Amino acid sequence: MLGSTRTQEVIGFAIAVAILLVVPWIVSTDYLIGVGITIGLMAIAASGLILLVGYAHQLALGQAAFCIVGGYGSGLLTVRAGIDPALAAILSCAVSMILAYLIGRPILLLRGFVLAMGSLAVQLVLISLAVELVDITGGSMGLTGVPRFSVLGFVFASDTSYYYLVWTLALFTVVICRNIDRSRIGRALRAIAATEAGAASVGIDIDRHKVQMFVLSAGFASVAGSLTAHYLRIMEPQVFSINFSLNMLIAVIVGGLWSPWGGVVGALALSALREALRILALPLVELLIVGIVTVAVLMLMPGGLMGALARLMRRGATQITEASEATPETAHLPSIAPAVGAGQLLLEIEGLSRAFGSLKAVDDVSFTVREGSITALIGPNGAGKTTMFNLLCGYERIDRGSVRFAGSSIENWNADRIARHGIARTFQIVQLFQGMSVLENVMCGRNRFARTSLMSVVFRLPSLRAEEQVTREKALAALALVDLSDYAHADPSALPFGLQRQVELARMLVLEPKLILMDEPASGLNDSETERLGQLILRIRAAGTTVLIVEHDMRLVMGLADHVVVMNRGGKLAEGAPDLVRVRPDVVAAYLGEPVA
Amino acid sequence: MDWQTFAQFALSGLSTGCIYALVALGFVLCANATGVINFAAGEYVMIGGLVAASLAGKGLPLPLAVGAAIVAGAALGLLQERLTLAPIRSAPSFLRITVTLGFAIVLRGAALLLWDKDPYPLAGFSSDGVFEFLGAVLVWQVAWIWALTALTLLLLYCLLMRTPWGRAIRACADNALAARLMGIDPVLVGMIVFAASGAIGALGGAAIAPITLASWSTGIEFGLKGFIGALIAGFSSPLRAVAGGLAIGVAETFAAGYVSSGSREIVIYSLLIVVLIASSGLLRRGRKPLTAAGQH
Repeated sequence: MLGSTRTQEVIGFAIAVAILLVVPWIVSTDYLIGVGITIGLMAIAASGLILLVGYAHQLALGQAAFCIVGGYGSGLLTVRAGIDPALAAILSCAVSMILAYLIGRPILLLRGFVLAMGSLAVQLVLISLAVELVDITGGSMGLTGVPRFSVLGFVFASDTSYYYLVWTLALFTVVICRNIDRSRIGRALRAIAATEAGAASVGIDIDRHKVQMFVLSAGFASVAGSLTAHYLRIMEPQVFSINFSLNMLIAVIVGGLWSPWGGVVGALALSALREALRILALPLVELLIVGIVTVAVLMLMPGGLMGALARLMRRGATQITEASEATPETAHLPSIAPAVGAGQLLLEIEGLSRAFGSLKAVDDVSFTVREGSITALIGPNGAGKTTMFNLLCGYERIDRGSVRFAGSSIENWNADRIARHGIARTFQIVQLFQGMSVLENVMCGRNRFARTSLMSVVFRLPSLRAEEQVTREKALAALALVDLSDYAHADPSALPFGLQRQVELARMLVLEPKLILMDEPASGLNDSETERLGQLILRIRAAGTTVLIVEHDMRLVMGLADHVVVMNRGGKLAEGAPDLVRVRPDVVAAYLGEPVA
Repeated sequence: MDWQTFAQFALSGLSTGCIYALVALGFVLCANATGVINFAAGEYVMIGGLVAASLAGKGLPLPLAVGAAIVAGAALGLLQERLTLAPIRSAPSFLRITVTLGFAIVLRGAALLLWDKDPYPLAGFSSDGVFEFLGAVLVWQVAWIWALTALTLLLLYCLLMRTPWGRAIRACADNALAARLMGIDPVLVGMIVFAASGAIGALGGAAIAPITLASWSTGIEFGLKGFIGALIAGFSSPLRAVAGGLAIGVAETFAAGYVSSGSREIVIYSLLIVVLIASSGLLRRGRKPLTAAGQH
């Protein structure tokens, strides 16, 4: 998103590695090596918050809960059960991630930052448990005798060796953050942050993505906790206090919430600030200054230090144009899902109703849409057409009635599930994902075809790369179809309105839906654009996709539709072939406002 | 279970519950009128307690000390809105909400600097004696807490229902965009609700200080419990938020009272987690659908 190129990435990483390698040669005091280890541990935990807070936009005030699980897990398994430290850390990490799933799964369903407080409660329980279960944890005196960390018999005996271990892992977390950011998951999360309604319309499972990031971030925190226990050689309840949780959060805010490096840079910056204040002997001011810095960063440079750095570099460098994409020579329609059987009923709506208070927005409406048809839903303003779409796509709750689509009853399914099941929609107000290129917007539409695992994303395995390549090609083909190949790398918000609609259309096409719902696609288009739209809709249908369209442009509707359904005041007024419907007196009356005879 | 213990737990639960209710009120007021979940809401309780306790300790008459606490809460609330929220009114809500967290740390840091780590005592508002009610023995301060909470609710009701400001706040809570189109000033509404929630929290802090002592680090806990109180009430009407806060207070004393004092915290916070998870099941059914038009 920050537009750093691969070269910049490699150079940045190399510089970081070089600095980290050299540091122990320059600073020889044990104290400073210790500071280096502490920063590295904080960086590991904070990188997890990049995933959770930065990418998934979920605050967690008690994220150190998982450091506690990791720390005590490793401590207890090695001290009480004599298990190998590396294995103990892995087991503790697994426990943390399972715990995160069990908490996150229900809590993340609630909108509105409930996880922030929920995680705080979890951390407070764990701290109290650590204090109270004296026989197991050693209580507030701490769990002593934690051995040095070792992997397969190799003991990290010196602080310098431990420093290298910790920072290797810290850099590894940076790579993981970067891999996720660049993958379908990163795109999906940015889509969710931009518009949840738009994200659901392309089948992105919002809750699932947030839970995934919470689980991963818990894993990071757990590893940091385990390594802390082995470094301190003792595990006390107050090591991972509420303050530690807040420091993690502040670190990522200062470092940069939307950069893979945010955790590392933030941990460094915060530690530098703390050391400076310690030297100035101002311990009580620290919290106030940290608070002011946090507020100032959020308000003045929300991208944090890394965001500021990226801006500086962009100003310095000339616009780097990516190597031009090889546009597929034959731009044909994306392959369409297999037909249920030509002319069969694809969508059956039976007695559908929805009231808002006393207003019956949709009242006992029934109609069907045949496979391969273009069906138009028309009616005067306020007839209930858009509400009907929202009901069909899971954006509004259905009061009564049934919706069958391709053999399944889909009433009251979540919007994203309906999209994955083969109904794609556009919006009256275009819902594009800001902050992503046109190409990335369209690539989001392929999310439902993702077959690779979370692990292949995290490690950017060849299977993921192959999948990404396919996604890219399909997206480019769809862009070619709507004549937008030249704009693949443009910022969608900079495009004229008509083209923004085309982007939304392309994004919908790559879903390979069985049924497409278009909500006033011609509104705001000029005559020639409307004509192109009409041709496009015909091409979409010719490729086997069924179309249901809400539109006020009667010329367009009458020219395209095989079947017209007229709504008025929430109810169905008429339906039939366009020519027949058009001349019915009650339809004319509804449009012109004359009393029905 | 014998009646006396039950009454004792229930009634003392209602007193801490009042403070959670006041914090919950602050959360709901700000969230509904401005769309911002104010993570600093609990810190105003801490500020109110410290201002009242330290001024009374310096010899200021108690009513003046409490008054000063309320004024300080209102002023800081106003300051929060003016300095940290008004300038980024058009920023994504994620940022505006995260900023409140930063401001909570500023308040805590300022308190630590001004008052240091030691807790401050505050004398009861009237006598330090006890009274009997429904078989329970309670300190008089509990009665003060009830009375002040009731008074706050009454005043808030008058503000919301009887004044043009209240109408503006309710209009913004209902539909911010429509309210703005009708000429209602969202700036004014934001200032009022933040000042009000600061004042309400500070009053709660001053009222509970004689029972719990006032200290720089207590804000988080009040914030957490007030938040969950507001949440189980669906973050909707002020009255339901109060009910939610009271429920958390009573549940907490019962949970703590019927188990050993050592595991008090574990039981309380586990209960909060259970409440959170259970409410997610309950609230999910009424979950706000994704609004297609709501573009931000």
